[in-house]
Amino acid sequence: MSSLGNNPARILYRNLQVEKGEDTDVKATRGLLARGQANKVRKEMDVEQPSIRVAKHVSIIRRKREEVNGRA
Amino acid sequence: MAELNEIVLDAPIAGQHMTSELGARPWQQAPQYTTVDEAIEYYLDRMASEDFADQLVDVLEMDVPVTTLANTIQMAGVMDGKHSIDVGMLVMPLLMEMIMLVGDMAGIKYDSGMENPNKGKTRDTLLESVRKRLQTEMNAKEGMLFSEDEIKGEDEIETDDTSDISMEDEEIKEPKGLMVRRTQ
Repeated sequence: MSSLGNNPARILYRNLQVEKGEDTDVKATRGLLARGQANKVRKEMDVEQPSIRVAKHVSIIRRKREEVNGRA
Repeated sequence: MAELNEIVLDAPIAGQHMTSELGARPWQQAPQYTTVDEAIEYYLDRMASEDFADQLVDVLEMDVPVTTLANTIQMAGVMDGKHSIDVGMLVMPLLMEMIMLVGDMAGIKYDSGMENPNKGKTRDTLLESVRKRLQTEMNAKEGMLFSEDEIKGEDEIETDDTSDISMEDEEIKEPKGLMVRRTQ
């Protein structure tokens, strides 16, 4: 078997859950003592998982790529 | 002379000159970037440079698949001790996306490598199963060409031949050796 057949990149790219990586708006809170929404949003977005974080980055770059290609 | 005949037990093992002590290589050390975020930052900084983009475009124009490039880049990161293999695997889709972005921005056509390399090829296992089925069918047809009487007749002839041979063997058999008593 050739080395191309053993490349895991194709499968990893296909299995990446980009649909989960859609952006969510984080409302800014005012005041030094205001409770931040970061933890709540993180839980909602499930960004504790590294693969989800990568998926978010990928979705941003993919959007940029679609803009470049004129599909946006 | 006595010294020369002694077996040297502390001689180097064949191929030892090609090895190094454990921990001497970068990948045997603790990785520099332990998290995915750190690794992403490292790669994005590297890929943002113009030199890297130019080289990348040149390689993409040579029809090197994006998947192969991404795998090579992350493997180089592992070899340099930048991150672990696990982090490299997680980061690979991002590398692919970045490479494709660079290719799109340069306006070149590139091979994404997303097509299955085995697509359109006939599986070896399928070929083997077809070959076996064909062989059994051919054997069955060959068996039908000869009638049962013919097959039985051949068997009888074969058995007769073997009986003759056994008779000859019995005739030839004579006791051998120096102390054998001769009967005349």
